[in-house]
Amino acid sequence: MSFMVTRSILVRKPFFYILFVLLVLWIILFEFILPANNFLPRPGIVLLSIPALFDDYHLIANFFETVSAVYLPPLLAFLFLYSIRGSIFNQSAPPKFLTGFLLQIAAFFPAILSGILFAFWFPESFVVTYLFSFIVALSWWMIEMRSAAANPNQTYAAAFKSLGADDLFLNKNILWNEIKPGIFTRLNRFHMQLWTLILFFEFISKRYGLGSLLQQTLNYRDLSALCLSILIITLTISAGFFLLRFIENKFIFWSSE
Amino acid sequence: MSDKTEILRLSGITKIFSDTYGIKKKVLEDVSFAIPADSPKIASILASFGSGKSTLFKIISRVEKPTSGEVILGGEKYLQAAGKIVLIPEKSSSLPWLNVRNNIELACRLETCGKNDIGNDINDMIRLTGLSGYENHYPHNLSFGFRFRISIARALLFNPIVLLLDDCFKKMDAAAKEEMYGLIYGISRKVDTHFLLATTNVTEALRLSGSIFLMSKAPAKIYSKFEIPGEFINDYNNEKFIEYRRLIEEAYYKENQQGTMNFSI
Repeated sequence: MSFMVTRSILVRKPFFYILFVLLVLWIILFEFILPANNFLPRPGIVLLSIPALFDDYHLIANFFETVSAVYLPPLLAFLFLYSIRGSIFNQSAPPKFLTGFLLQIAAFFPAILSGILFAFWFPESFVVTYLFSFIVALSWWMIEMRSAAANPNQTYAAAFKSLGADDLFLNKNILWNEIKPGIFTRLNRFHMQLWTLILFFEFISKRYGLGSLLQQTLNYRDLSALCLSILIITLTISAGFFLLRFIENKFIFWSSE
Repeated sequence: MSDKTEILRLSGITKIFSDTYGIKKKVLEDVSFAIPADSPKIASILASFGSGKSTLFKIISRVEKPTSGEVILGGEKYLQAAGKIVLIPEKSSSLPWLNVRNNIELACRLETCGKNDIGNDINDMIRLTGLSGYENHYPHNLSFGFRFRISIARALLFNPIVLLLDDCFKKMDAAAKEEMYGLIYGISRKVDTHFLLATTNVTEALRLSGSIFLMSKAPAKIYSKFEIPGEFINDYNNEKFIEYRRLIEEAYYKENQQGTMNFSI
């Protein structure tokens, strides 16, 4: 029965089929044919290095540090913008100036450069990763929200204006929801970008998180721990991606009109 | 010039748009007409595609400002009385992320709604527009007709003096149109609100309206008015109906050499 289910998944999803073939290839090649190499570790060694990853590399603490740095600050940034949603789209308000400024900066200043500066200024700080993540996420939300709101639905605006709605009401109750489908479509890409930035930031700051764990495995030339941590990071990003997809399907069920 | 015996008067409405290069286009030119208080509840503005009906309706409902001219409501210059002339635009204006009840309730948050017992009023409007049993449905996948009912319910909650229907039936199929004609006609008998319909469809105007204003192509102005005695809502194959259609057609082609008016049923 379970074999039938597995077979059915493999046939319907070619991605999982390819993954399964690669896994089998890895086991055959590196467990039996090429056990000693510097390319990929032996599957048996990888299994044996799992406890070391927990004890020596503090996987759990580093994992929660990175995951919370990737997901909490963007959520806080979103809630902050939600609280000021009435004025964020205002054409004469400071957010317009700020977004324009951010867009110009983003054109020639990669976000990771500010991360390097942060790592230099606050080398011992525990919260610096969160601060960096918050600034990146807030900038992204603002830029995306304002560009999505550049061409609002005139039908909604006309109907509600004739009922007496002002710009504040339209921004809070209509425009804010109108732009959600477009933003969520782009959120998947930002999710990956933020993971990359945070891992790189942790890698160079060498203090906390999965990025610093990767840095340690490189230092110790520990191939099995390196591969295992890469696998854990990939699975976590995938889980985050599916979570975002679930949220999108559950709460953003309409499309922009 | 105006008095309280008139529901609505438009006096010399002109609208000129300027594009980014400074090129000006006159869309409306001296549009003037009045709807008397004792006139039938539904009136129509009949004009061809792209003649400026939507612009005119936006001006009447204060969504847009005219370049010159004024809108007089119930004998008084209409300035801030939002919610008294409500516009239902051509495209669906019900919000796809809210269910039927929340769509109507959202409008109640506006000061201009001025309702105390919102719950009962919303239930009344839901019943009136035939949405009972669909209160928790979301309109994002539903038909134009369904979404139009929500817009009507939301608008009527304000007890508007005039409700503007901007070619709302255009995208509906024939069966939905029939349903909506019946709905509008039925509602107009139960509420005090007057309805002003913009349409390109002569048959639609004749079946629903008691008076029809013919508007020319841009720069648009009202060039003729027809008072329609009797009701053709369900009886549109008799001689009288066909005669009125012919008269409107003649008046239209006299004013417009080439037209895009819809004369189909």
